[in-house]
Amino acid sequence: MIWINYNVYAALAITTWLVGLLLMYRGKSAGTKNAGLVFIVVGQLIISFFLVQLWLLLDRPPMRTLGETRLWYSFFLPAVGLVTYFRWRYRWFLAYSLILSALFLVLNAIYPENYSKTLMPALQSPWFVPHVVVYIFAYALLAASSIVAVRGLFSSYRQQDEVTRQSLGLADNLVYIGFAFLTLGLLFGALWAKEAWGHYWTWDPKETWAFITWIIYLLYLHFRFRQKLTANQLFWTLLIAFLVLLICWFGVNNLPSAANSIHTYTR
Amino acid sequence: MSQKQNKKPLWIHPWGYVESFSVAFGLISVGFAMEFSTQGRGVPDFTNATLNVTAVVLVFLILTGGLFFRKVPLIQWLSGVPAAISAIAGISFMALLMGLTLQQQNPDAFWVSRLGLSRITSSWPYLIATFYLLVVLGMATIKRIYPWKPGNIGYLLNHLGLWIVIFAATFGASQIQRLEMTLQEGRLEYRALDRKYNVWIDMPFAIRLHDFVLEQYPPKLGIIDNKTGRIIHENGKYLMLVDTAATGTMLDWYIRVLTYFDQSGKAGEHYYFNNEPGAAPSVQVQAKNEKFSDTITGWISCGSFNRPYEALKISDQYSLIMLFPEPKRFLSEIEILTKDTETVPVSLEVNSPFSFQGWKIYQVSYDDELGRWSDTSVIELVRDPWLPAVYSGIFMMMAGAVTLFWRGNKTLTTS
Repeated sequence: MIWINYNVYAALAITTWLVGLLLMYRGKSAGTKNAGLVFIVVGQLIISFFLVQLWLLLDRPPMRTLGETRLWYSFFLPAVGLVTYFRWRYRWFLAYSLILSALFLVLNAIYPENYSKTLMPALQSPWFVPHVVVYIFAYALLAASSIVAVRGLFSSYRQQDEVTRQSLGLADNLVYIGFAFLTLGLLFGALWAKEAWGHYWTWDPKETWAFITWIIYLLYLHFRFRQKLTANQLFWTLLIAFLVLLICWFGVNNLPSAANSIHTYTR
Repeated sequence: MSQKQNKKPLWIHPWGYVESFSVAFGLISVGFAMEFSTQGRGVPDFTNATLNVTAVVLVFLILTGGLFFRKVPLIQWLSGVPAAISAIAGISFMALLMGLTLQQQNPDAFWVSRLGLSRITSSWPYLIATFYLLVVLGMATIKRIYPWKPGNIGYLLNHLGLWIVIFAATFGASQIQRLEMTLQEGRLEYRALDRKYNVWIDMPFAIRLHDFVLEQYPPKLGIIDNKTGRIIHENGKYLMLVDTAATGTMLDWYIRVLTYFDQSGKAGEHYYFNNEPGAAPSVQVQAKNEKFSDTITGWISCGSFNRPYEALKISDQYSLIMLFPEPKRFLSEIEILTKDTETVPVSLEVNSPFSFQGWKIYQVSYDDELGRWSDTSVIELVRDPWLPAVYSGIFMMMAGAVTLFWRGNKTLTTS
């Protein structure tokens, strides 16, 4: 029971983001808009500071429980949004990534975490940090691709062909990079499993769902390669793929098939 | 072009999506029919000779087909995107079934056992879907290897890497040996149990356990409902780790640790430091009720295999208790003795197996009840002759993932 004032940090971050977005959207001059961007970066720094503090306090990587992985998600999602903004100036995308990140911060406030210091021996491995970080980064990128997909469906409904085309391009790029990280996360997991459990792949329910997630994005990449599907069909594929990803991340623990999973660390 | 393809009669080459998915569906259906007709016994254990011959034949077929008969419409179809997508969809379908059904030994439901749904990895439809994927992936890979273009490197790493992983994992599966060995402090052991076939195996070396060491975290304090005996923890919110600054709030109580012994014994009403076997941790705590300004002080201990536990009743409804300490790390100081009287001292710990003569040796568990006083250690010995092949595939895929990242980057800059 480590007392850490999570709610204050979360509220501060969300407030700076709101102010930042308001300035970026309502600001008249370039100066005001840049100030908005500064606010958003500050919000990102607040989350980073909280993570560092938590890591130091717990004396272990804060990546064990679902709530802890949600925190990393809230950290990576704005990071992806900011990089995309600096590179291609997608303002709407930055806004959505911040909203989604804020949603996860609120989720953690509603379901407060047990910041327990204990870490079971199975998780004490040099693979722990790279495996989780790479995975959550991939999840953030793929979540971003599903935001783009929703945007694409909307623009296609309104028959804004140029926006639809751009969205598809952006979604593609996010999926390519996201899939690369997803693959690395999966393979790091396999190498770690060999060291910890004696075999690289045991079809544990979490592994099965990680495999399903991976293969659905693989399907998307092959759909794209053939270029036969319409933009709408591709956007829907991305949304279904992200649904499977969420089942893998949160849902598995509640599936009847996962009764014997060795991937539960939330006791 | 696509208009024409749509009007093409079915099963006339070039085959498209309809034919590809029909083939995948047909293959998996045949698999389930085989499963059903063999009373759901699943794929039998083939001998190594059978497996090796099958592996060679498969590679031979893929190589000759892909290299010398690539103009044949069937081969063209097998190395194309529609076949690839149908093969991925087929294996996804099997994985989804696995993800939705409980994989276990003895299922109750008739259909589940008859169709092999509770042990899909050893079922016919899964095996057939895997073979279909291996053929399609293999053919597609060869098409890009020969004739070779440098730009295909990323494609090659991803596809050939995945092919090698699936191939080696499938054909190597039956040659994996996982043996369990139970060690007693001071005793020499050379026999290990193969749980899959329930047979004892004589190892080419013996192992002696010198010492089993278990380090624990400090215990946690919790609050229980006196009537139900259940811990009220609110997702761990009211679990308090006894560390240096041990204060905390549970429901309406402010808890302060006054004294803490990681090992102790009881004399009269008090605990004192003691390091005999079974000496359990104990704390003296003060619980202050913030509503009724009521203060209670007393001792709590979780007990051990030979000591009773002690709770502190803080109201009619609640008591404070101590949970058993959680393991921080555990390890076995062992010595491996070979037939040439060579001895190798090893400190065996979770997450760091030791490789010896083609075996990987893992720390698995110990006597839970005795905990830190356990003089038993269970270790696992694993042999997987195909592991180097699987690893080479995995490393190729890792390199492939990096190229994918770059390629993604490239499209970013052009769009």
